[in-house]
Amino acid sequence: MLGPPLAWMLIFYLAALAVLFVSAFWSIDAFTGKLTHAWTLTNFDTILHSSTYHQIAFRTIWMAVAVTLTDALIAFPFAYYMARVAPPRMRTILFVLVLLPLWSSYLARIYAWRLILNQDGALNWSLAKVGLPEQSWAFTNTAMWIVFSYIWLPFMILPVYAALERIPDSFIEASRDLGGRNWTTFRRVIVPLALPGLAAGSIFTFSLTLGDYITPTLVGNVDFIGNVIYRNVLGLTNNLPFAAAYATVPLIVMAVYLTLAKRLGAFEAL
Amino acid sequence: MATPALADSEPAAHPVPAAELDVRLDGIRKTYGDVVAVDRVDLEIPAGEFFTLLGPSGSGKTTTLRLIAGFERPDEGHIELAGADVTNRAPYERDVNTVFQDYALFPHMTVAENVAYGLRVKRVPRAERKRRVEEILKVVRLPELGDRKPVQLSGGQRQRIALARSLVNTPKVLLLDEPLGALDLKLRQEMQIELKRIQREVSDVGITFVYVTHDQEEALTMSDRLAVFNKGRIEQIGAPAEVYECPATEFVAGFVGVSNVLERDGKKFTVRPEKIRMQFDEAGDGELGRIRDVVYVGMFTRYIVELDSGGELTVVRQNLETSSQEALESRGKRVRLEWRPEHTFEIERGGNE
Ligand SMILES: Nc1ncnc2c1ncn2[C@@H]1O[C@H](COP(=O)(O)OP(=O)(O)OP(=O)(O)O)[C@@H](O)[C@H]1O
Ligand SMILES: [Mg+2]
Repeated sequence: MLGPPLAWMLIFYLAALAVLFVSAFWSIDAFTGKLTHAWTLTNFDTILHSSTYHQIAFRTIWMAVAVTLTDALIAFPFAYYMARVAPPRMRTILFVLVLLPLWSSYLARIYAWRLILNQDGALNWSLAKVGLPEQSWAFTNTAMWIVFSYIWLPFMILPVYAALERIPDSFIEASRDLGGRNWTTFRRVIVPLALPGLAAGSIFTFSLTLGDYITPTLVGNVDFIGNVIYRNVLGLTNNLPFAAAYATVPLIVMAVYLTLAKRLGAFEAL
Repeated sequence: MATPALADSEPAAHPVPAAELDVRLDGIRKTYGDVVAVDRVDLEIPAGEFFTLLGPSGSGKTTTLRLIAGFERPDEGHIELAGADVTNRAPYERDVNTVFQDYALFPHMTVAENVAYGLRVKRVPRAERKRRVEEILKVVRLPELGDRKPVQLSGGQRQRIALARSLVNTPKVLLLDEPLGALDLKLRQEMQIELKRIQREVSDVGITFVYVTHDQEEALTMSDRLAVFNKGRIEQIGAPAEVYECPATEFVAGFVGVSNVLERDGKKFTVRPEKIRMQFDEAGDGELGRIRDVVYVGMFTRYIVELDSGGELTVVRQNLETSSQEALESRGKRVRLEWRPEHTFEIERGGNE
């Protein structure tokens, strides 16, 4: 049953990836701007030896790590409350609240943040009201960090919620029965059993941050991997082979990341 | 049919001095909304006893056990463990351990880590922990499995590990909620014997077993004493032979063994099927009747006899001389049933403690 659709998917996915990978070894004629189908390592050479591209790659990875950690920290208590404390009605309400942003336009939400974080935006207005100094986060890494953490948060909450909700009450009772106080039970039973959920959520937050170019464009002022690729595909330079070569960077990072996540049982939690 | 040996010990009806008591429930009541799960239960279990809570589904056995463990708080009444009032203590403050029906082994820990859990959270030094875990794994006869994860065990093995995880803490009281419920018949019978062996083996530290089951045969064969639950109340407490042979209420007579209740001269009484002699002549004392049904069970045959003066009795006869053919052919025959007056027990309606 699963065979043919799966094969189909694989062909599509692998074909696209193969084309991407092959085209990374082509180049653009510097004068005519025409695609040259000759094998060359120029693109990889540029990426490996240009400090600009290093910086962009590290900045992107660093942001993905920061966003993932932030989302994990916010999502855990929230998901815990949802799964193990909230009465059923409250749980439904929270579920809707978590999902609600996903039903509205992603662009609109990022724009909304732009309005909030602007020098004369809603945040500074509120800060002034309560007598706090104003912030100037607009178009900084801080702004990107806040916005990324916000837009990907549901993708962390849901798998963590699923993992926490699945823990049978008898495990917690068994721990208490064997002498585990609340904190011990939390640390030795609940957190380890939620770990696969956290790992699964982190795959989403990490890879979504790694590949996004809209948030940096709208609320940031520096390049991310996604921006470089975008500009080379559709922008002035139109250097498709270079875009392809640079796109292998997040692919490799993700491959490493998935291997680590698998160790933590992320795929059993999905 | 379980036919327990006649207990020659005296009935344990008289109160035990408080110092030797491990568990004392005093007027315990627990409700869930409109449902009264446990209704004014009094219970005294002396140290080292194998005590069983027996009763049909929904009769409040699990709730009683959870109250003793501390997972639930009673609405009324007190719980004492080894003389101390623990009614308001958390589970981790009670010297009691539970074997859960679903075993509740932690899936992210190995067998050895599971068993060591209680010692670990109580900060028992590593060397002693290791020694005690190895020791208890030997007692449950699974010394080789320490490095496995729970998913890699069979049902019976999980059961033993769950037992080991509780026993390693040498609690005063061990609570077991239908621990053999998930096992097949053969394994269950093996584990019944195992459990008794293990209780004997740990008896030098004197662990009281409080065991929940709805299987009357299991209750009769394993317990020192048992309490029969019905609708949140205890109908009778006593040694297996007492409860079986002198059921205090109609409910007990019916639930423990075969009901065999007759009403004569406005009084109800019961007589156990194996105490009835069945004669095929109609001359003599006793009740006359007709065999309505015959159930051949191998070692013995069960006869359902319709009595002329009303009522029905089940009679059990060992197949000493009768073949299955002869037994089955006796259906419809006229018979005379005799029993000795001392084998009948008058019963009262409703709850009696
Ligand atoms: N958490 C709960 N919420 C509501 N009602 C409950 C709860 N736990 C038990 N009850 C009710 O209390 C009564 C006694 O339940 P209990 O689990 O003690 O029965 P039991 O004798 O263990 O039955 P079984 O043999 O089926 O396990 C039942 O009517 C049950 O529906
Ligand atoms: Mg139960």
